Amino acid sequence: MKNGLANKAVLSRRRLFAISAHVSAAALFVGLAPSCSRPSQDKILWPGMDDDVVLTKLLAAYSGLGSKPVKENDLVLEGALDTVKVMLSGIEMAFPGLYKDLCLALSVLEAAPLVSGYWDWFSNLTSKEQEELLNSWIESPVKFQVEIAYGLKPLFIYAVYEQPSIKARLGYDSPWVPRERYASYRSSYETD
Amino acid sequence: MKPIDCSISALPSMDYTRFLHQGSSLVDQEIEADVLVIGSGAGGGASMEYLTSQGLSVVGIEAGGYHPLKYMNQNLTDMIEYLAWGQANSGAQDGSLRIVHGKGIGGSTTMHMLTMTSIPEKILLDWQGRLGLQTMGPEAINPIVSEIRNVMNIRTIDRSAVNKNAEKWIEGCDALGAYWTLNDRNAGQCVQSGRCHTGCPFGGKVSTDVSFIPRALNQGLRLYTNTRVTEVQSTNGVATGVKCQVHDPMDDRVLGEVAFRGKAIILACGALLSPALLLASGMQSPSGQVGGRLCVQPGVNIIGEFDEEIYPWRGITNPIHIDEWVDHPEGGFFIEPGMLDPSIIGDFIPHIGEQHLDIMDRYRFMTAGQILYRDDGSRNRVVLTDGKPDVVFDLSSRDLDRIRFAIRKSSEILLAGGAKAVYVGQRHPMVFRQGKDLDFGDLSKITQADFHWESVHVHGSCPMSNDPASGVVDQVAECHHVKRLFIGDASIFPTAIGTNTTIPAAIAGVIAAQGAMRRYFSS
Repeated sequence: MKNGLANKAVLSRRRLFAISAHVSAAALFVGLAPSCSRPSQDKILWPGMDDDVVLTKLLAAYSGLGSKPVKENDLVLEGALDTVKVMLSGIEMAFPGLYKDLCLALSVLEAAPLVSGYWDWFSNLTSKEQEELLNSWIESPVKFQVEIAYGLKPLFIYAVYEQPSIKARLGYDSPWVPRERYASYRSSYETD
Repeated sequence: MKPIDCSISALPSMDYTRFLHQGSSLVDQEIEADVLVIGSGAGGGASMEYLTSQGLSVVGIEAGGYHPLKYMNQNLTDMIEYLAWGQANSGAQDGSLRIVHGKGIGGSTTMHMLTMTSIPEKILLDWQGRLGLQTMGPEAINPIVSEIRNVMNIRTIDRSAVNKNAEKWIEGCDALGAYWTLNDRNAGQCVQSGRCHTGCPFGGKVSTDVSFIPRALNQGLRLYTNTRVTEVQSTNGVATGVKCQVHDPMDDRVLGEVAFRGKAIILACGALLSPALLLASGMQSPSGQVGGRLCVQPGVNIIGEFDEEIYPWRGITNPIHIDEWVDHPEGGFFIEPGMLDPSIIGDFIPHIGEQHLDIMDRYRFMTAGQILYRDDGSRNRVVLTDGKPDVVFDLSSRDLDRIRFAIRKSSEILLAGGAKAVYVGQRHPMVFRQGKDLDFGDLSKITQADFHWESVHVHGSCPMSNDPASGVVDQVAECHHVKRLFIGDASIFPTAIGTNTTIPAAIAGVIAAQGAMRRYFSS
C-alpha cells in the first residue's frame, strides 16, 4: 500500500513535471534564446549557469556513476568533462545549428526542475532525483523532452566510456598501445 | 629520392613525409600537371597509381594530412581527430544522419574494418544489360578487381581466425539455416588487436596510404597535403583547374591560396564531398542529379547479451558477413558482426543512469553486429547549406518495413545463437528476450527518428548514365556537362551496391583514370 502511494506520488509528480516543463521551457525559449543564439567560445550554457558543474552532473546522471560517489568515479567524470568539451567544439565547427540546439537543450535541462516540482536547478538535485527526472523525460508524452533526453545521451555516454578506468571496470583490455604515441605527433608539429 | 619500400614487412615503419608538398611554401603558386586527382582515398589512390604507371605527370591534392602509423594510438577520441573528416561530425546538418569518412592520405581506408567485398556480379550485369554501361560489366571490372586485390593484399580469412563475437552469430545462422561467409580482408601482418576502426599502428592494414599511394609516389606522383579544393574551374564547359586553400598542417589555419592547372581532373573526394564540391563550383548537371540518388546504406547496431563471457572486442573485427537476406524481397540488408568500443555501444544500451550502468557492466558478455540496409537513395541527396555539405536523409515507409524485418531476423539469429537478451534502438529502445515472452510487436512502432543513424558506405550521388538527362557521368566517369572532369569514387554508381565501398570506390578510381587516359592521353 505504502509503495503504491509512493508510486502514485512519483507518477503525479512526473505528470506535473511534464506539463510545467513544457510551459516553462517554452517561456525560456522565448525569453532567453537570444543570449544563446551565438554562444561564446568559452561559454556553453546560459549566463549564470556553471558549465563544468552542469556538464559533470549530467555525465554522472546519464552514466549512473553519480549514484555511487567514489573517488574512482570522480576521476572518470573529470576526464569525461574534457572529452565532452572537445566533442562540443567539434560539433560547433561542423554543425553550428545543431550546436546551438545542444546548448539550448543543456540550458533548458538545467533550468527545468525550477518549475517542475523540484524547485531547484538540475545540478543541485540529488543523483537519484536527477536520474528520476531524466527517466521521466524519456518516458514523457512531450516530444521535445524525449528529444532532449535521448539526444544528449550519446554525448555523455561516449565521454564517460572513453575514460580508461571505466574501460578497465568493464574488462575492456584495449587499446594495446600507449596514448602518448599521438601526443608525440602533436608535439612534433608544435616543435617545428 | 630512394624509392619507398612497399613490402608488407616494411609497412609498420613506412614514413614518406619527405615526398610530400605542404605548408606556406605553396602559397600563391600555380602548379601544372597532365592530371589532377582530388582526394587520396580508395578511388583517388587507385587513380593516382594507374595514371603514374602510364607515365603521366600527376598531381594529387589531399585536403587532410599524412598520418604515419607511428603516431596512431588506437584511442578513439584521438584517432577520430587524426583520421576522420570533421572529427566524424559530417552528414546531415540537422543531426538526422552522421556520415563517418576519413580525411588525409588514405581517406576512409585508414579507418575501415578491412571488409573487402566487391560489387556483386548480379549488379554489374544489371548495369551492363539494363543500363547499357559496358565499362561496368564483369568482363571489364574483374581484371580491375584482380589488380586491386593484388595491390591491397586482399585474402579470405582463415576459418580458425574467427573471433568469439562472430562465432555467436555463426551459431545462430547455422541454427536457422542462414547463409554467412568468411570475409576477404586487406590485411598484412595482422596482430588481431580488434581496433581496425582507429587505424592500425602495427601495419596490419593495407590501406591506400600504404599501398597505392607509395607506389604512385615511386612512379613520380606529386602529392600536396592539407590543400583543400574550394572550386573546380572551367572555361566553355571544359575543366581547366582547381583553386585551393593551403592549410596549416597542425592547427588547420588557412595560410593562403594555390592554383593547379591540369588537362584532366579526377574528383575522388567520396560520395558526400565530390557532389558538394561540384555544387560549390556551380556545376549542377542539366539532369539535376549532382547530389541526387545518394545511397546511404544506413546502419543499425544490434547487441546480444549472453550468459558466458564473450570478450567480443578481441580478435579480428568483422571476420564474416551474413547476406542471407540481401536480395530478399522484404529484406535488402546484410549483417556484419563486429563489436565496437563501449563508448559507441553504450548509446545502443537502453535506459540511463544506474540501470544503464548495470547492463554495461556485462559488456564482456555481449556480442554485436551491424545491420546495413541497402536503400535505393531515391529520397536522399547531398545539398549545400550555408555553403557546407549537407544531406537530406529520408526513409520511406517501405524502407522502415524492411528495416523492421532486418532487425527481427538479426534478433532471431542472436537468440538462436543463445543470447538471453537482444538490445536494439536508441530513442525507442527495444529488448527482445528468450522464451515465451518473446514479442516483436514493438518493432511496428519504430520510426526514422528512433535511431541515431550513421553511415560509413555512402555512394551514388553522381550517378553514371549514358543519358545526360538522367545521370551525371558517362560510362568512363567523365561528366556529361563538364568535359575533362571525371569522378573517380563511389559517387558514380547508378544503383545501390549493397556491399562495402572500398573495392567499389577503387574500381571507380581506375575507371575514371582509364577514361581520362583513353580520351585525352592515348596518343
